[in-house]
Amino acid sequence: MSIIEQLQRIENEARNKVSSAKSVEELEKLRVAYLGKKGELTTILRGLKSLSPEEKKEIGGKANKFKSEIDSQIKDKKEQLADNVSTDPSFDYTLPGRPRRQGHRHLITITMDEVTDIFQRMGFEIAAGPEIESDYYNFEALNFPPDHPARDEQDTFYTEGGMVLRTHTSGIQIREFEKRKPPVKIIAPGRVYRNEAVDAGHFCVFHQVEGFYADSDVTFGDLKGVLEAFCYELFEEGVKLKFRPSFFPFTEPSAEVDVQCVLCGGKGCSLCKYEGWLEILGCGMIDPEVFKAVGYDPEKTTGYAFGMGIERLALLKYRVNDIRLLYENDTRFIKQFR
Amino acid sequence: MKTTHDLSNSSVKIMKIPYSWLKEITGVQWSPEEMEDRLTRSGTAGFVNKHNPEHFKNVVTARITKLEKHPNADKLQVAEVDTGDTTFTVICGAPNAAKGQIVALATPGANLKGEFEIKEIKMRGVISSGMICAEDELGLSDDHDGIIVFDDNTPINVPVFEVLGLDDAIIDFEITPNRPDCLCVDGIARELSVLADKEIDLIKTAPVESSEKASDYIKVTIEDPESCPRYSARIIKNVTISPSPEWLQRRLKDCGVRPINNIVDIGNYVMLEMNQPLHAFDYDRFGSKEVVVRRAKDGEEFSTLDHEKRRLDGDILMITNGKEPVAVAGVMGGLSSEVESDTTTILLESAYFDSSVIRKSRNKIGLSTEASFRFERGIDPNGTATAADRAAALIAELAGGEVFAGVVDAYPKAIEPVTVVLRPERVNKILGTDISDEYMKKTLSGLGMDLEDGDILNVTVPTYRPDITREVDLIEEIARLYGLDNIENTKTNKGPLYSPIHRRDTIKTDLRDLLTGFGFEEIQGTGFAKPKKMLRLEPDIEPIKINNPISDDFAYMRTRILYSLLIATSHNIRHRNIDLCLFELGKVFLRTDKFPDEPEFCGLIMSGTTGATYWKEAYGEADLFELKGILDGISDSLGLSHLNITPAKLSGYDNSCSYTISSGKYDIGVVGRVDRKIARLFDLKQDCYAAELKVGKLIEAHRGIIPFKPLPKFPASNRDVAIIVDMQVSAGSIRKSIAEWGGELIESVEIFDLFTGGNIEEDKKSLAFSMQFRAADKTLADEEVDTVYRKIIKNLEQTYKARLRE
Ligand SMILES: [Zn+2]
Repeated sequence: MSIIEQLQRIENEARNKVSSAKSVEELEKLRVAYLGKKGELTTILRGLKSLSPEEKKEIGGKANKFKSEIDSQIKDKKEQLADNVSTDPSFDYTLPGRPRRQGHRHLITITMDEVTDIFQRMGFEIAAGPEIESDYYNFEALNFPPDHPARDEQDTFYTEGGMVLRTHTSGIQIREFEKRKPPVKIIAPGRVYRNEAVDAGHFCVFHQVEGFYADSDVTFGDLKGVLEAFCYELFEEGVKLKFRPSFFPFTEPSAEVDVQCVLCGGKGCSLCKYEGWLEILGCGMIDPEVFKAVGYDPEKTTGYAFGMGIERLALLKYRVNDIRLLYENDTRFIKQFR
Repeated sequence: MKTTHDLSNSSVKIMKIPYSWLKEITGVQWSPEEMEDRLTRSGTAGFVNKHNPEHFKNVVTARITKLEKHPNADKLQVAEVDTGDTTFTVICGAPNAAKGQIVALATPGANLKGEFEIKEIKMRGVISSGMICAEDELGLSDDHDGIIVFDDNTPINVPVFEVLGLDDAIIDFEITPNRPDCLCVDGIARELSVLADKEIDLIKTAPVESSEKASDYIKVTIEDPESCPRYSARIIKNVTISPSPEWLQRRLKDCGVRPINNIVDIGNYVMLEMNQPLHAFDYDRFGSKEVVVRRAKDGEEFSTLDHEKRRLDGDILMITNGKEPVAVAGVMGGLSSEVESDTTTILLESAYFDSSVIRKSRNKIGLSTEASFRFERGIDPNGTATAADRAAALIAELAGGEVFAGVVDAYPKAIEPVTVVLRPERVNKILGTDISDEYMKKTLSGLGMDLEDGDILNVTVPTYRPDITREVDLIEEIARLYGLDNIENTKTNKGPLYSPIHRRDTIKTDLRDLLTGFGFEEIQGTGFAKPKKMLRLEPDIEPIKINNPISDDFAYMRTRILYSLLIATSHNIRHRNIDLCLFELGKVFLRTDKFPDEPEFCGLIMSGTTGATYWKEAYGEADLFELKGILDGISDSLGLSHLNITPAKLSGYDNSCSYTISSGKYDIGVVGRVDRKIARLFDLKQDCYAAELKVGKLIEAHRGIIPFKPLPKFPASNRDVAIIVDMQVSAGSIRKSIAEWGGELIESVEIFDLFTGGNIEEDKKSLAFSMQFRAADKTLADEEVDTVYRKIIKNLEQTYKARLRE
């Protein structure tokens, strides 16, 4: 067999073996076997000494071409094998990824954030006030005269020092009005307290968002518009609202707002107690007595106020059946919401 | 603002009124549901309650024809009950069952309350094929005192649903405190009349009077006309006390009032009808011929109808006979003049008391009654005589009495209706509507108001509407009857352009995002604390106490957020959630001279393991360094300068592991291992690491905007060194020294290894540091770095007696 023929044979053989190689290790062995210092090619090339210069040149050229081609074929094949991890039998893609322990905001926070975000986008500024409040800010300035039956509605905790645990965040209205001149457009989220018997629907602590807007020309239509937009965002665009006249000492006219049951669409179900409607907030036009208490002229300033219980919204939305779960802080509960 | 949280609150009065009564008075033909809807939308929230006829299927009237003791059971009886065509054998346990009674019999096929099917059953050897029902079994009330027994002349084999008139709906009205006029049938009827635009005549019967004059028998003296502006009295002689007729009893029952006897029932009936509380005295036991209304004397004693002896004082208004008290005015009558079965002459009181006086009286004696509730909210001062007439007429009709001529009416200063000015354009300005003057006038006159026309309206308000005193009150009347749902919604946004967001609020969002990202779950504590635990945890601060706590667990306000973290940790561990990373953002409450201080805290607690299960490696245990890493993350993310912790004695934490945290000059909080004795107080056996950060300080300690630093142009050189030093030398101080010794060229020093044991002496440790050197203006030559490095090594050997580790 001539050297050329030998070369041809090795080349074919090498190409086949490289292309069918199964691992990087095997390829490395092939490289050593063909191209190494003691490899077959080297052996062949040793026989060149006996040839004529023309033959040497021809075969030398072919050998170099063969060497570089096989070399690059091995390299390519190695990369191909390295990319393809699945050829590694110990690789099990079904093993779980490294878990990142992810915490969760509390359901009250989730709901509160959702509510305040909506109102902030409408241009309401967030204000805060003390949770231990004076009788003046919690009741008197809000047109709850001492000894008025409306005070009975607010089962109040009293502190030793003659203060009250605020029963609503409405006192922030007074505090902010005192500090500012109209226009004032604010939401006051926060924790409130009621001295009620604790059961699945009631807890002695809950959260409220109170909103109020006082300006030269605020109407009940404005109030309705804002609450409608709010409910469209919180529940669903186009959801139906019902405004029922009601009573709060610090608004007049006052109303309670029902939203069409989000679960049954108004047909009646256990969530809405077969009423078709869910009561979600109270509202009204700010009573002139409140404006008088803060030194605004009720002839020049009108305004609205509304308030809602955050726990109630959270319970409705996630159909949680017991408000106490919110304050037990069981992580199996907390982790369910995001 | 009231929220839906208080749906069940006590002062929203639930008034039960049968639909048939409203229909009878008004002639309005709406269905119960339509009545409910129309009234609710105009401010008188109603809920229709109906009995389901399916639940009364196979329940008929039947007569007990035979009653014998059960042969095998002491407390049971076997009854034969006849429906006219069939006789059923029924086992009965009711003590009030008797032969001859007409009862409610449920026969097989009945499905009581939709949940209890009646079948033929064998009970101790006797087959029972039905049940004689009590009220609770039919869902009529909670009464299980005995079986229902009908009037003797009730026909048998008639559906009980029919006999009891259960096809009538009962409407529960929720009456808000501003609408005392709606605490009666007449009030609701007036609302219906406006809504249906239908004139109605409310019942006003006057009694047929005898020739004897009431004023010859009784005189009324009001000593305190401010507290009792009006007192009307009537005398009715020769009455017979007996049970009320069936129709009256049924109506009272439908309204949730227990029938007593004809006189008491008539009083209640007229109160339900007209909102005028009435009191009937036994004239012969009254003790004099004079009613004197006066304040009680301090220390005076009086026995009320409920057999309670009550101590009085000058805040309490009394009805007396001139010598001694006979009733607490507007609250409750007394035992001595109570109407009893032998009473023949009635002194009927129909009075108007000042609402705040009644409120004070009933608070003082701690007794709230149906009457005091109504007086407190305000009744019609000009309705007392009408109500007395109505009641007297009914007494004459139902108790056979003889009504003396005239109402003895002490009304020293008549209470006149108020006149309120209404500007029609003001209505539309406040509501954002375009309601016509005509609509306003029609609505107000429909509500019984007198109008004097003009550019502005002078509106005279009937005295049964004490809630209307101002223009805005009239605007509310128009709004509620126009229909709030008919007011057009504004579609554009209004208000100030500038509504800033505050760091006070956003920092909480930032902390929540950060901490949940670090794997912490957010909790919500109540803010309350149990005295014993709170004081053990924080003995140095006197907490704010609640005067009227719901329980001992809620008797103090917390002074440390750690309290709530421990409560939550304890709850979780009790429920086998043992690997915990929790945080809370909330206030603590501290005494001051005036308003309490309410600083906001961010509290963190870790216990158990801190990572999540992963097949590649084991997870870490909660310890100080896990928590320090979290704190460093907070500090970096919020833009604070590097945190330092300094050992300190802190209540609640273990003395050997408690530190204050500072960032620059700001003291931002504390961190440490919770004192094991405190932990045990919360039933915690596993170690907890906690931190309490002052949110206000985190805001203050923010470094502000730090100008951009150009990226380095030249490469850095790194050198590592491992040294052996005495155990008590702190890694932090060595690291700080290296950074100083490295001068301008050293860019960072990190501790990358701590090693003890092995071939290291017992009182020594090995620490390894990685240093990075860089110059801003050139590539450092190896020799330059080595010079600094050697200096550091030399200093380490000299200052810390460090030995290089090979
Ligand atoms: Zn529903």
